[in-house]
Amino acid sequence: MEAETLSVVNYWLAASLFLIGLYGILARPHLVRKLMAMNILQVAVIVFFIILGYKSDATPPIVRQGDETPIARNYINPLPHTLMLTAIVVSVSTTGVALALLIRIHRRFGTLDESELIEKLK
Amino acid sequence: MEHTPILIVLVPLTSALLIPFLAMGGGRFARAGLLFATAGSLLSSILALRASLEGEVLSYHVGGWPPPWGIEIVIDPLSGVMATLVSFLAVLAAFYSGPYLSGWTARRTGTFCSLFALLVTGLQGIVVTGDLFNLYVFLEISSISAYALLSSGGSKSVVAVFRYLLIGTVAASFYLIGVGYLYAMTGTLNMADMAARLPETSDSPVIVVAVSFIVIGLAIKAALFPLHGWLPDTYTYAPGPVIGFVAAVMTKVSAYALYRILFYVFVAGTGPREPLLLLGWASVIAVVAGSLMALAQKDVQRMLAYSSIGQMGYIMLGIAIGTPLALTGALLHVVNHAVMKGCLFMVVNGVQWRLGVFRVRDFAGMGRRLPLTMAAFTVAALSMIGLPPTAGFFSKYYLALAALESGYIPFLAALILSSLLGAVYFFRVLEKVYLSPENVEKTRDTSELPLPMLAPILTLAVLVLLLGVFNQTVVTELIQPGLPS
Amino acid sequence: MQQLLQRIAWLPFVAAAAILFYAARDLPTMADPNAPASTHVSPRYIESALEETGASNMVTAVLADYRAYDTLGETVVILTAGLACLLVLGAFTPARSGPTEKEAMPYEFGSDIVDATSRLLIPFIILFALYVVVHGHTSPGGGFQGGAICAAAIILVRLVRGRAPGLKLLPTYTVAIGSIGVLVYTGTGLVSLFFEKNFLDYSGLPLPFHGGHLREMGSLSVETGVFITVTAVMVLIFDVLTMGSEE
Repeated sequence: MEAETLSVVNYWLAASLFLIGLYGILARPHLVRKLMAMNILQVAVIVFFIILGYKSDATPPIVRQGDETPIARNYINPLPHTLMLTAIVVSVSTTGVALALLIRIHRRFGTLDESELIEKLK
Repeated sequence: MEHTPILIVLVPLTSALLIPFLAMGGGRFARAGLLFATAGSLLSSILALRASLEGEVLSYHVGGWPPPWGIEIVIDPLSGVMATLVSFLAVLAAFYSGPYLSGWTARRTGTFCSLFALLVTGLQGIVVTGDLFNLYVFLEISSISAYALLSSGGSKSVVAVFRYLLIGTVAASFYLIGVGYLYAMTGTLNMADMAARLPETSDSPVIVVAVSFIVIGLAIKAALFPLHGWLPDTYTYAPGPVIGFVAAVMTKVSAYALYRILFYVFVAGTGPREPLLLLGWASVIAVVAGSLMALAQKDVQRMLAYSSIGQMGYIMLGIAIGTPLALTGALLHVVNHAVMKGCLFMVVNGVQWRLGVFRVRDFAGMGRRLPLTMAAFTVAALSMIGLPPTAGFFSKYYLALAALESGYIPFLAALILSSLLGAVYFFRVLEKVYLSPENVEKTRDTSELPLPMLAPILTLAVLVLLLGVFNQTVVTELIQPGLPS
Repeated sequence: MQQLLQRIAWLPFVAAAAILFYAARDLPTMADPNAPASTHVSPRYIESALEETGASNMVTAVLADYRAYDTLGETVVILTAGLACLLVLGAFTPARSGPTEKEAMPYEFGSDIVDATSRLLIPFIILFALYVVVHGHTSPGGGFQGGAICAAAIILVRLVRGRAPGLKLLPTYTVAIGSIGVLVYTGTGLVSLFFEKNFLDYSGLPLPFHGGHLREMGSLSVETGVFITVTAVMVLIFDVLTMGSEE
């Protein structure tokens, strides 16, 4: 496959993941599923950034032993990886807080289904 | 002195870390820590603002790395004013939270105060940063602490906040993917550097997509209609001291971030008008819809929440028109609305805290019962309607002038219509407050609010008047230096 | 209103789909070494990281040094999440309304085999966590990864042995330990403030090293802070989510 097509397919994969997440949040009635969809959405962003960092014929961004003068061409871009480490941590934290909220909701209302919940809130 | 820009963020951050230890000595110490955090941030903000008004833009290189490799903190008059506004309201909210927290255990108070200080840290971090990804990190700090604080108001608030969390995370992801597109096209994350490199690629559709994603993401955070879905429930069930602060500044900080990115990174003032016009129409709908929905509410706090949606429309409208006059109006309205909405929410929550009532009809006769509080409410309400000489009149005046000058007559019509609607729903409350007989049972404690609650409310009410009377000085000294050149 | 909104919910979805797929064609070709992302800012990270920061792992160099302020924010996000879980679920003292060991850990998980195996494994997991932190400068790893591994070891103890005989880290302590971790981070930054350098500029640290080595020590100290916070808060969140509430 030529590089252009491969590139577009990769971007489309990230976009599809993003859309799966968005769809889940908009359409699924169960709150836990919404939360899982939210995680997929965040993973999509992470995948997208990692794609941006890749270079053909380059190695991971760790200076090889004996390489006195590293050249940018030989290593992949470390910046997106760093940024996504942050994004992963944010994703974990948000999930933790969301789970805590869900436990509170379940203790109080005994259900995590959105329509039942709306019914009970009235 | 040279370190004041970082101290704006560092003081509340370090205090937030120390508050769990202070709380081991008792809740009082935790509250003192919170006061120190917010006051320290206010002091640094004022110092930084003063330095930036003398004409130099303070640029602080964190870690000693020059941008675009390191992260830059930028204090120009615009971010200086915003930082001062945020920390000023934070100080008042910290005072206000005193009576509210008095029944809590020391540990819970400690957690609450620590999260509040982290919320201030996050908002200040957004305001002062000059880096797009750094903005995302602080956006998340402020969001996560806000989720926790807003959900401490009972089980209904937990459901509302869970929805807010989902929508807020979607918004942040939209923002982040927009930043990713920009990074792919320019290779940088620094705002100033990106502004310099964007003209090379500005024809690409990718830039348009990046702008739309960033605008949508931040518009969700700023609760621009029709992306406001999370706001009414979250605000209605939120606990008092939190909502007074969050409603006053949190959506504004998102609007500020949007303004900063549109006008300092994309330099929207020079480009084609059409994309901004789309935002303008959305804002017009927001202005009208927010006011109409506020009119339909029986719960005062929910009424204020919908009114906030309308008011965010004003600010976005100013950004969308984009002329210097309109931006002056928008920025002035950011300040004014923060002050008056903070005051209104604090009053309503004070009433709810003291008397346990929240519906419009329960406010009957409140004018005799809580005269000072209701006087503050009246001033802030008049300002929301936009009567001179209160602050609200002048920002609306600038926005109306700008709409007229640029020939957007429908925008002007929306402004006038929403002011009329605002008059209707606020006078409905004021009529109850001053003209109806009392109907709350006599047994409840009906004296004025305690001083820690009353003082912030009155300060804000006086500030509403001062901002109105000295509005010319405020505009020329503080707002206009912050406009993009 | 609610129904109307639900009926048009697919609209933003389709709009997002359209623009995402449309824009993909105009993004720089993937893996192109001449794309702006690879030629503008990142070359300095690749070519000078070893010399300037002493870390041969460039990701660590960017994370703990060039963009250390971001990483501070990220560590604060974790701590915020821990505090948020505490405020939301209000779990503080198992002694007060006392969920017993059974209630705290309602699912039977342990058995003799699991117990014996975990006793063998856990010391090595913790050792590996420390290795990952210390070697983060020369190989994949760092404070976050090490912290997550160490927290996994502690959570494994919790799962196998129940709360009472495990490491007795109550939420009160873990939240304090988490704060100490971030304090180590900001403290490192503040020290350079006192030596007339900018916040987090490790070249101001009063240590007997020079150039890259000095900065390496600074980022190591920062990574230690991150390690402490991540370990503590991950355990905290696990505990809070599995415990009964204070109210």
